Amino acid sequence: MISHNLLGFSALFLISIGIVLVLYGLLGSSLRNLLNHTIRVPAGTTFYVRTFFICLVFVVLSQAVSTRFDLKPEAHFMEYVWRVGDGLENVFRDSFWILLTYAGLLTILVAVLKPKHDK
Amino acid sequence: MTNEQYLIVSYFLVAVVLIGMGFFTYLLLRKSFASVTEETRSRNFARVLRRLFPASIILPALVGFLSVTYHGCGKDSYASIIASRSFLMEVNQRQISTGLTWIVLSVVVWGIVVALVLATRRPTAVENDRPPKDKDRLTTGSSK
Repeated sequence: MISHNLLGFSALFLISIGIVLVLYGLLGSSLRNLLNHTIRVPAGTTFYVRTFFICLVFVVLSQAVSTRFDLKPEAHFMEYVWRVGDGLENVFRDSFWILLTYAGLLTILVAVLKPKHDK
Repeated sequence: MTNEQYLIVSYFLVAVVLIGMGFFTYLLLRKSFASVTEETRSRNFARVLRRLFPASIILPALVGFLSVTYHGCGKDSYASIIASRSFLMEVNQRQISTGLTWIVLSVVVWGIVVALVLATRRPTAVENDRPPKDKDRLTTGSSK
């Protein structure tokens, strides 16, 4: 019989991966188009799109894995929900920081490279 | 499996997993990074960057792994460390989490390096042969 702690961890893991896929799905193609127009080096576009995906996945996994599921067998359902919520809080927070970092990096790329290419 | 056996197996297994994740990251970014470094003005600098890249992705994973210690939080002796399986699992979780965070940080730093390379790259032949803008043609045109 699978322990409830393992089920809780699996739920957190799956939701975290789902968040990554949603974010990548929402931003991936726009990011690629922006990078194609700004960098004009196909390898650079590939590099940044892949690093974006890697950073999102690893940050999310890092927080999901670090969440402790050590509830007693007699714990209530809502206690598992709260523990998953704790993990998701960390996942959302670090995903936010990655998105913010990438927004800053892209802003710098556009600010530096666009005028150079427009000359 | 005893707690001590679990400690030994899990310690090295987590290290191998983190090295594997660092190596996977390197493999995913290797070709695009190598192509971008071709854009630098100095071939030697490009070679140095390409040689630094794998080490600076894999080593942070190990740094993160090794930075997590089993001692502390009242567990100062070996016996107290291997007394609880849940404590050992918790440390493994922290090792993986910290290793992944360090890989992300190193990838972000390399992203900044690549941005600097792209900002200072040598112009391509196509960019050099671009025709002059209309403004330039007007100023350099012959007078009536």
